[in-house]
Amino acid sequence: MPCWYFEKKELRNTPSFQDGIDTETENRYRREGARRYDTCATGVVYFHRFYMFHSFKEFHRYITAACCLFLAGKVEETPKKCRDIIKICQNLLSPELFTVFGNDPKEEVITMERILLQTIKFDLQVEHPYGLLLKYAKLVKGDKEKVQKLVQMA
Amino acid sequence: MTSRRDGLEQNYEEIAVIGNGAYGTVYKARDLKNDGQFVAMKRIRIQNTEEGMPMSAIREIALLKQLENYEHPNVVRLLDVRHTDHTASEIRLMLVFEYVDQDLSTYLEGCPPPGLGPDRIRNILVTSQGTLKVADFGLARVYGFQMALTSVVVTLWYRAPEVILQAAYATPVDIWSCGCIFVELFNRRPLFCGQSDIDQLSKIFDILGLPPEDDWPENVSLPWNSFKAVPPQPLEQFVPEIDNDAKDLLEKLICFNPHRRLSAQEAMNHSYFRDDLDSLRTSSSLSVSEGESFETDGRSDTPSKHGGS
Repeated sequence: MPCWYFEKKELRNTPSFQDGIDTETENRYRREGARRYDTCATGVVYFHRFYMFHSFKEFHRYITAACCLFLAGKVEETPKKCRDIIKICQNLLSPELFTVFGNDPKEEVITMERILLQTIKFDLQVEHPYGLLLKYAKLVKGDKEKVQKLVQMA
Repeated sequence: MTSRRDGLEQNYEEIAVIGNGAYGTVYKARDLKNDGQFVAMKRIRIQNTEEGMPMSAIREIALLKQLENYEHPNVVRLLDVRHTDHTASEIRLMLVFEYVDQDLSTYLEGCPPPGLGPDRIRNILVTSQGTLKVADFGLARVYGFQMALTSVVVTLWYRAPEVILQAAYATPVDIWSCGCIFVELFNRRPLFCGQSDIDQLSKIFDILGLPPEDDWPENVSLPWNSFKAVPPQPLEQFVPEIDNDAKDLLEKLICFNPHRRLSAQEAMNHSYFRDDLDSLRTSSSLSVSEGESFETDGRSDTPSKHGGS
């Protein structure tokens, strides 16, 4: 089991730092990378909210999921082209399953966007607990490993 | 695929058109699901793109909805957002707001006929209880598409000099506008009524005086020396009813150099408000909530499109 805890010194002297990238830039890159999590989490929230108003029989979950991710990308400032999202869906799904996207998959997702927006009442900003959780975990005294496990579970 | 959207017409009954402008058409309507209470419905058009709803519109509507969470007493409630229909080139939305009877202009004039000219303070409303409410928060970018389609000119009168000069600008432009409106509360008429960009600047300098050359923004097409060097005039000459505290505040609000203009927080801390807040609170004619000011989510440095008044 590798050790994922680093000394402060190690955290400063990262491979990127050794490679000539200053700490500030690296931190920015890391934040940018981590933002994608929020996008996925936001998309998932949209997905759950959507199916509190519509049935899975009425709207196919693959299209809804693709659309939630597409919309979340725009809201969280990590936009992905609709075409690219569909391409990923196509790669992940068997040709047979991909048929739910119909003849014009892009139009299908864009149309879905309007229905999704209306259904979730344009409530697009979702606050996620992860940041707060991490802050909270830092305040919890006790076995660091246990705290880490708790955070993972949450 | 079917959608189960219930029709708009089932929920809202239009009564009359109450406004028409760069931002679209506003209707007075009844909310049939809520005891027929009055609402203001704004129909807006958003450009439809290859990628569906444009990010700028999504961002702004998301912010508006988020702003709702604060339930700020001086911000008009956004009650509902509806997608009404769409074509290949545009998406039509309906924003449903709380209905407020009069805008600041009608309130100051003390008479009911609603004027529809562009020279009105349309996004500051006054309820029948005398509460000020700001409307159209951050909608400039949502309306962007529509504004480009209409020829309605947004009024110049409240525009900060750096905007007119097309220099870099940020949130201080709103403080400038506040200063202009502050004067209007005393005078019941606008302070700087320019007919064109240059006329507007001249009217500003006629009162404030031509600023020193050092304060002139860099890389603007209008050079400093294209204006006559005029000395500043005492403000009380133009605002006879103003007291010393108010005058001091005003001077700092309509300061030519945006870097030296007060920030919203600094303005709130000005002694003018310290005295006034107490008397206003007891008379409860205005609900000004301290400490509930909005965080600008760190966007204060990003240039933003300023829709004027």
